Amino acid sequence: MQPTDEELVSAYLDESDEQAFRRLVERHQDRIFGYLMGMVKDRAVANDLFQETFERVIKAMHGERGSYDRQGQWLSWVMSIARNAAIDHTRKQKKWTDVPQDEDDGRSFWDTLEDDSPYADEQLHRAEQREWLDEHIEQLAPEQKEVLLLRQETDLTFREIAELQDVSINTALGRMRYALKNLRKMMEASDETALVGTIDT
Amino acid sequence: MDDRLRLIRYLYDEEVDASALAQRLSDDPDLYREYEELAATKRALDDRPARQPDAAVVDQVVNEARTAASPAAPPSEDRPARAPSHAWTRRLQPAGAALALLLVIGLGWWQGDGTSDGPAADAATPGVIDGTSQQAPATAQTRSSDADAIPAWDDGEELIRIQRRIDRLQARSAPDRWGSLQRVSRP
Repeated sequence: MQPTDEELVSAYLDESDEQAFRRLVERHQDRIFGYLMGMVKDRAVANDLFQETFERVIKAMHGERGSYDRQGQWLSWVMSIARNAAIDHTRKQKKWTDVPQDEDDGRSFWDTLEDDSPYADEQLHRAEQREWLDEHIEQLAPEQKEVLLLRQETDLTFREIAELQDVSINTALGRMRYALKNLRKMMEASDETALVGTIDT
Repeated sequence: MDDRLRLIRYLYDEEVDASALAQRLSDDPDLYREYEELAATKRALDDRPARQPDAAVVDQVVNEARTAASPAAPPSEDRPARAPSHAWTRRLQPAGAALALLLVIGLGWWQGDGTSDGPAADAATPGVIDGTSQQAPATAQTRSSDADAIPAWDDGEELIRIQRRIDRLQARSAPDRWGSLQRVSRP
């Protein structure tokens, strides 16, 4: 049986078990990183924010900066820190809008190397599909985009998302509904009809 | 709660009364159509591959967690870059302010003392005054344009990010990443 998040938190804090902390990070890395990638659209920046998030998390868990009350919901607590880190970054970016951004798509040199594995085509197709969907998600209203990313990437419940955004659950649900509907419209309007057909089947 | 909002919860397996909503779906074709559209969009989103941070970043996070868990231990060489501590500069701020105030008062007193020498003192150095009066505005202008050219870094965060990227690249290109060389046994 898998230990719960809280059991891993206790193992790390009470017994200095670093492997417990690694398990926590690895268990939730896709969710946290997926959300950050969706918010900042730059792999290098998302990596920075991921590290920054956990620097804050570690400090707060040791009571150095803020605190963690160990009342469950470790992930939603971490997500609130990740969200703040993303918001801080977005605010800073607004101050530097005249500075040209990296032209690449956030991939490192290693990511650009050709993959000759038998699954390369499948991976390429999925990567293209992801990129195509991400472009549409980027066009959503910011509040719709964030609810969609939080629910879809991090798996937080709508109640947790509502608490995180300090709105009612109906507002969170309404934003999600519009996000999905608008996304659908964009997908239908897109020229990539073949891809929609693939996705729907 | 509105049925269309409940539909969203239903899609994500959060609806508590799922059987009642399923009944509503079979009774209301518009609601069912909306459900079909939303479900198709969700399937497309679900089908996206997951994204993971660089392994080096996870390693750095775990290193930091280890360091934080054992504060007595000496910091490792791979410890990630941290923001510089400004605690000592904060402590010096009041002293600096007092020193600046004293300097201003001293300059004021010196200036007042200089003018009290009367017109003779002013007339004694006309050439020097003329020379500096021609150069001073140009120097001030140059300094002003220099100051404008320097970006107003409000903190060291960009430097920290660059340092992190360097750390990650170094971690990736570390020799042990490629695995140790295997000895080949010959017959």
